[in-house]
Amino acid sequence: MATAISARQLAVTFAGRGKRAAVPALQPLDLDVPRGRIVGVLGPNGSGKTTLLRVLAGLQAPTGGTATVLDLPPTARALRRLVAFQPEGPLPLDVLSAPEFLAYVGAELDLPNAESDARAARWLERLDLRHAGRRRVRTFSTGMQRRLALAAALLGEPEVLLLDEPTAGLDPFGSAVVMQILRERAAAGGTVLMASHHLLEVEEICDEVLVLQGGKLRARGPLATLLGTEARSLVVRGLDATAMDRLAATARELGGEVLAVEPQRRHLFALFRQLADGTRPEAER
Amino acid sequence: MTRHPLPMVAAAGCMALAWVAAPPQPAVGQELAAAFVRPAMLPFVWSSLEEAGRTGDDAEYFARARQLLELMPAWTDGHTVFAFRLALAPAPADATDPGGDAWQRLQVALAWLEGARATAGTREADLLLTMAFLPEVAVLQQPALGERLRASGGPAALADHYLAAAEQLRGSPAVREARTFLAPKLAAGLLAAGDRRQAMAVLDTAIERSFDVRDRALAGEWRQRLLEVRRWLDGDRAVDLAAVQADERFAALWAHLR
Amino acid sequence: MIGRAWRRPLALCCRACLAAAWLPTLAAAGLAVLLQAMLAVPLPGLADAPGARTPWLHLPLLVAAAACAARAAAFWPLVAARRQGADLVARLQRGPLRGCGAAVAGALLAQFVLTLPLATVFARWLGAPARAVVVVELPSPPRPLLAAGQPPLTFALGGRRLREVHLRPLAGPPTGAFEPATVEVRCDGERIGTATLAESRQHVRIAAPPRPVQTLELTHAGGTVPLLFGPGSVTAVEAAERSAAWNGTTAAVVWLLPSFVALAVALLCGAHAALPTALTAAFGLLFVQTVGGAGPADAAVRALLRGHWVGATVPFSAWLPSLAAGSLAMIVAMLLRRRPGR
Repeated sequence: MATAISARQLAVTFAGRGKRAAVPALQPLDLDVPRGRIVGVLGPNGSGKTTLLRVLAGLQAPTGGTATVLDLPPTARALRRLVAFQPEGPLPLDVLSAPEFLAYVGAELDLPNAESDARAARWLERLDLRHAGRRRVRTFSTGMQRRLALAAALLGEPEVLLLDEPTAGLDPFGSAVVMQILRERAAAGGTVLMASHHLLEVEEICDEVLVLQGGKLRARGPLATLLGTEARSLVVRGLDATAMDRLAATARELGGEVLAVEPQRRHLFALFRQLADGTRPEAER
Repeated sequence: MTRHPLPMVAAAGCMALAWVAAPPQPAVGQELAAAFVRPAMLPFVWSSLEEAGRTGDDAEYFARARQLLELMPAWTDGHTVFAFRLALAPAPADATDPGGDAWQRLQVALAWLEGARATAGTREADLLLTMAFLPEVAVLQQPALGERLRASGGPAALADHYLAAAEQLRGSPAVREARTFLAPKLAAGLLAAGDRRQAMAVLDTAIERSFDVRDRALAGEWRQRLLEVRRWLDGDRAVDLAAVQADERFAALWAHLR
Repeated sequence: MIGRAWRRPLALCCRACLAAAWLPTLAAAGLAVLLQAMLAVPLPGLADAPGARTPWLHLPLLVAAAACAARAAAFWPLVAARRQGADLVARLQRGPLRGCGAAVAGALLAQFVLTLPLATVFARWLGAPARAVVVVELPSPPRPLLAAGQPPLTFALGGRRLREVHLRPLAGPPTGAFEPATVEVRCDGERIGTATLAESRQHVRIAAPPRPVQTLELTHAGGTVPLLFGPGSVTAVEAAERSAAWNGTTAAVVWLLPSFVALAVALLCGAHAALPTALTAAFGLLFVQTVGGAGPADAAVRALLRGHWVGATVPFSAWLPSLAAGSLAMIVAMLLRRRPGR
């Protein structure tokens, strides 16, 4: 499989000034991300996640090693449209409305006006921002700003998406939509490198993860490999109480440990959706 | 959350009550505005004044000076300097009536200083003293102005008017003596205007006041001269005017003692 | 559909500046009217002097310039360092200044739109004459002293049609008993007037004949006061009148220069400093260049209100120091921002 992102001994050290010592933000790391994969970058605050993304977006010069994106150096002009970067935090140019903001992004990506507007309309619809109309971006909630940032990143239909906390501040529906979009991008051959603190989401959609700590790469690999063990568990649903007791007894006889036999519960997401939009719980449908 | 209207209504009511109880005074507003503008503007108003003196015309220069003094209304020396400059400015080259022009400027300068009295505070008397000397200096600069002032008693009459006001404000010996020593010029002005009776009254007052002059020898000499002039004006041609005729301080009267 | 140009940083910044600055500018004009009424109490008998009303025109002009500069610096996230969302814009922008140049141009365009009515309509309300005259400062001769026994001073006019000649020499100590100097003024040999000068900077106007004049000659005709006709002491007022609207437009253009310098220096500071530092530098420079008179803006406003043709009083050569300073700051800012941060 072709490589979308590659790094060899990539390192970033922020120079010290005066009595302040230099800060190694990213210690030499090797990295290969094949095309069509969703890779999560995990790590506590200050572990180097954002620095890694900024280097790959061409916004931060590495102090050691090399990096390529789509076989080009990250600062290559050709990557401006092929690679999209969604930084964390509030959006700039926040006195514009969402359509104006996307029109600006489209113009800078050299999209023809009509095509830019059509794509913008499509993504605004998909990301549930149509209702924002002519409101200024500064009046948007955090979640709306994140969704608009993603729309801006997707506007140029990039091959590589570098996302910094793409679901931070999003409600569960928004997160679900974003996850779905990322899956679709990956299915279409796109590559996603996303930094996140939402471990469940990462576990849900990422093919691989990198775990950084203090600028060092602590673990790397497919989720199945990193999370897998020799032991197996059995989760059973849909039996009546008698059948359940028999199954538990058999399990004990075979030397297994029965951890819990509990009544079946709805998923929290289903309950949330029921309360939020009045639809019936997923389990009841 | 709905906001209760009562606090807003109460605030509006209090404002209205305050407005009625103590209506806003324009002077207070003016002083407040000046206080805000002063620190930021003062250096630049100074440089603008200098620039107006270098490249602008007289009107602009004095308008700039007024701006400066609007920011520092209590600066009496500043008022005095600019009012004197205004009164003593040379007549325009194409002026057809230099005396009238000088008279006009003197009136404006005196009005300027009169306006400054309100903010002069404890220095009001000093301001009046400088006002007293301005007409005489202006006449020296533009002799044609003397002709214009003759009918009203000459510059000395104006000087006496302001000295009297200064004396009323601050009856210091110096002010009283200044009025006493002004008597010959004032009397000469009145004589020139044809008011012999008033001139003699001025001399009588000065003779009476000469007892208050602190320098006893000077007081005696001054009183003696004034008495001689007074007697001569009263028709006593036997009086010896040699000392008066030799005293420069009585020069204004010489023309009327022949 | 929004036109292509309207989607670019220049137009976006211009719109943002206009939206942010029109109300403060209007309020400043209102305040200027109020302050003029409260502080500039006229003294009856003193001649009207529109040239002294520059503070009341400076106020809204300065507010418009400052509001546009502030909005541009705050709007464009790459003007100063450490701004939220700057990375998003930085990836999209081309050019060494990453759109900052366009943002500055947008701010200047917005400022021009706001200051044009101030420099034309508001200036007229403040008393600027309806027509402007060209006032030319005649270059001082190599030996500028005029006294008894000295040769006449000659000034080349190159066929200008004049309305007036203004004299404003420096006076020296009298060479004998004090007697004001008498100066004869001649145009191409024809005597047009006599000036009596007694003190330094005494201002004398002499009416000139309405015909082309090649040379102006000043001859000492009497008096003991020596006169020094240094730079700026002889000015000629041309006969032709110019449009006050164009004069206001020129003044509004000149007023862009301080903003250009201020924003360029803000860009320079902002390469490493955060927004408050960049804004402080910009405001400080703006204030010194306008109200402080360091630059052509103050002279342009003065000339506008005096009814002098701004183009002659503040010729293009006077713009050059500001243009050079702003351009230099831009170039250095460009060099500092050339590569991604290390």
